[in-house]
Amino acid sequence: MRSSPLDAVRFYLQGLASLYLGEDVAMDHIQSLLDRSPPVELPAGQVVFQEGEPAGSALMVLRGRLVATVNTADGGHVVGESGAWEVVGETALYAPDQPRSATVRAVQDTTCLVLSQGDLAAQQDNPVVAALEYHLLHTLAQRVRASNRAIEDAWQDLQEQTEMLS
Amino acid sequence: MSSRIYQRLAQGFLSAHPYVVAESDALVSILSACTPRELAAGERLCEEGDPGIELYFLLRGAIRVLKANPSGGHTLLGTVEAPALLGQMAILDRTRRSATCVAVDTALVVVMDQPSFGQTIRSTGSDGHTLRRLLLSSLTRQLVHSNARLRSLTTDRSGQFVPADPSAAEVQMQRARAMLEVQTETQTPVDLCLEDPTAECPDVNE
Repeated sequence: MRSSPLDAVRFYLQGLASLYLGEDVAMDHIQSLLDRSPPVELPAGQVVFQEGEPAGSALMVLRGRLVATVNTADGGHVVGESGAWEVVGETALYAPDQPRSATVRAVQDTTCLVLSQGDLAAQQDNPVVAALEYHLLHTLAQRVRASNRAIEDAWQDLQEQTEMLS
Repeated sequence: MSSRIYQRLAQGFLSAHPYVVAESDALVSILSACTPRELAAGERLCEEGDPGIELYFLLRGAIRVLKANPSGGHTLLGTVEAPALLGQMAILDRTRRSATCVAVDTALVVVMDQPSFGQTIRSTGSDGHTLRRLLLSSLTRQLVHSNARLRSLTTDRSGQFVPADPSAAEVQMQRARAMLEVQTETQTPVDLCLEDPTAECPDVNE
């Protein structure tokens, strides 16, 4: 992992804070976060998380692309892709007893912010952290809705198949 | 309610979310600034289609979560027991209620309105990070549970993920097995994901 282009990262975080808090934040706050949680660069092809391993942190993609796959009998099946501003592995923060549900791999050179609950709690008065937590909330709400829709579709499929079989 | 009661309720709330690092005083401050509302058995807390302009802290009792179905009845999605948060997705996304919430027996909620929610969720003070962390913990549980349910509908007998293929007999058998498991499973306090869409729930007070 190499150091990232910090100017672009600062720009992203300033935009995020402005979007969620409705105000600009001082550069000192952004720098404070980056000092504690420096962005990491992941070269294309690098595995970030492995399905089934213990989880402890989430990633926010700043640049590049990550792909999530789950194991299948014939190798792996893609279950999701994430690009800039998207969060990956977010359940690790508040359900650390749950193992990683998918393997995540960088498919492009990717820059990420690594978010752990400890790092966020240590900077709880930092408005950039407030914006990140708000962003995580929206991410989780979208994922729950998507998951519930998929369950509903699966139930409808099941009902149709049951009717066809009967 | 007295501050001592709020203190006890706040501690109960935080105990239900062991991964949330927060001070109970901050939660007491949040709860005591909300509007308490007592519900009678069968009384509606909110209605499907209503604007999502309130967040509910369920402090005592249990709430049934129901969705209108095409046959004119209601489908039971789950039962939420105190302490729990309700209505968080709609107020976050500023969307309408996706389900109707009805008290099972007498219940106590405190209601946070949209302006207070908007102010607190953006706050960098202890009230802000306490609310955000409780919401993060609650939504994470919902997501973990929903994903587990989805996975049970899309895995074969050996636990391998199988892409949806309606013609595969193995998938049909697995889904039928999952349906039977779901129908007999006990609800968890935060279980708001879809359960058995065929289950009618006629005892809703109009």
